[in-house]
Amino acid sequence: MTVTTTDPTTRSAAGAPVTSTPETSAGIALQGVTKSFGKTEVLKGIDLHLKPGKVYGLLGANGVGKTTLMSVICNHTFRSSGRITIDGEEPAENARILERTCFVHEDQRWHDDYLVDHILRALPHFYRDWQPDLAERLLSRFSIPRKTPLKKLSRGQRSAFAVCISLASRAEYTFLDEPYLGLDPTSRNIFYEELMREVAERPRTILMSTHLIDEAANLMEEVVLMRRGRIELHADVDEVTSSMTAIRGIDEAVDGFTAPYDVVSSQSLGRIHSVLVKGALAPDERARAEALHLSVEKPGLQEIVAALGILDHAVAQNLPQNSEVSEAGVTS
Amino acid sequence: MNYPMRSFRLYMSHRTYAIYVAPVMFLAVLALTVIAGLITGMVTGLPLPPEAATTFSGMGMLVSVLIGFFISSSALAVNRTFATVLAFGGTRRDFWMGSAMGFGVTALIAAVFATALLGIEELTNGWFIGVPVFGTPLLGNGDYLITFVAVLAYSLAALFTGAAFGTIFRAFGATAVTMAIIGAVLIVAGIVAVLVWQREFTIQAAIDLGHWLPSVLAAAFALVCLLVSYVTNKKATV
Repeated sequence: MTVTTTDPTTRSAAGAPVTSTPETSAGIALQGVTKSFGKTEVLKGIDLHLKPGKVYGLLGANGVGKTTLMSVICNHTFRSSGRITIDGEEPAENARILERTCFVHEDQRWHDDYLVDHILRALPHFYRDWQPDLAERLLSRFSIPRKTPLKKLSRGQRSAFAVCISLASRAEYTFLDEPYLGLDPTSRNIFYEELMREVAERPRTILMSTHLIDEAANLMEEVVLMRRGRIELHADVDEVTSSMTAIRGIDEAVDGFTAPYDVVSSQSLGRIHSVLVKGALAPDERARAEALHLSVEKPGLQEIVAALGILDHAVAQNLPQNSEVSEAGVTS
Repeated sequence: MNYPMRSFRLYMSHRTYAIYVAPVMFLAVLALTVIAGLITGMVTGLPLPPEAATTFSGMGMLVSVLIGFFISSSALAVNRTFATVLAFGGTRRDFWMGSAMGFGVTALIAAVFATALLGIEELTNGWFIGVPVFGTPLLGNGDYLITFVAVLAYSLAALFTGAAFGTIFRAFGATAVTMAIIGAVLIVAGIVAVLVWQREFTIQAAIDLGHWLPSVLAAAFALVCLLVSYVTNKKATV
């Protein structure tokens, strides 16, 4: 697997550039999609194919275009150029296609005087497979008040309400835009649990943008990493996490051990040194590391994403690149 | 699935706005007018003499209250329910059609209720004190058909005015709304100037239309706003 962060070309987990022509018309396909707001180009030629029935994590720093990407797919915002299809059809003003989507924005606007009940009354008319029992259970588990105007719900309650709608809609293409915002740890656990249960019962395509990468990593089957309006990496989560090894221990021992390796990132806390190196360690190398009292682990997705500089604002947005990060590469 | 009906049902799900508000407003204006009539009657005696009753019929309070409320409620509706409909997989076209159907129902309820109240007003000889609330010149001077059409036309004009400006805001932002208001005022001023310039034609048309004149003007305005909201809605984004 190769990811060169200086190269904006999207690459697959196998290292080859992701082909812009989808193998099949099923799922969501984007070809050369761009979106500009005035002179600011937010999406810069996105090529992406999201297969049906998979859960995707959409990762990247704030402002890289994650929400815009989801918005143009659902035609909430008009793309500037490029082509988008959902199951082979153009979604723009296509009621048959769009009725199979659900995208409640992170900052969703609701009518000031509408209550949860008003929305619940209308939702069965929007979704053929609407699950009223599931909606009731989620509302109850998240303790969302039914008689409070939506504009007066707290940040966490609004996020939880969006989760209720998204899951109970059973929309074949569900978009979750930072669904955890304002949710306390207990509510986040409910969300993860319910999402896993829903996906297991009724597989569907879910594209979820998140910054809580490790928390949500177990839910994701594939990750789409965005940087500076482009797809930096689109790969299977397991492939990504297997592409590096974390080695931790006393600084001299770690430095000596990792000297022959291709180091992606390193961090220190006092004398404790933590280094990410490319690739997996051979059994004899693991034994050598253990002999040196070094801990050898499979790194978390968040650690890898951070090492790649995906979450680095200076790099992620249209600012001068951090040369250290830009030189990093991962090979397996 | 009938797609526009989904937006229509979302609009109708808030029954206070969609159904009850016009009747409640009519009853509130009726109550206030009757109270004012009773106070006036303390001086003039009851039922009110025709010269005192005329001052009530000229106030047009009912129409202004209705128009003001409908403009704000529809502007809010298109602004906020637009994002909701799109979030739930609706299209712009279906949202517009569903909302327009909803506005039609709200206007129809207002018209039916106003006509029914006019009937009661006639039966009770002005709510027992000689006060005309619905039998006013702006509503056809007691003609049931004109009252029905007038309230329908005013309501639609107000609802689609709010929808048009609300959609302009949604599509192009606050500056565009200001520009649109200035533009609308200039266009109306231009039309008035033409009508004054061609005053013989204007006067003759007004005479020909008689009590239908306000309804026809309101209906024409509603049509223009309906078209503006439709065209602008295509450009609106979340």
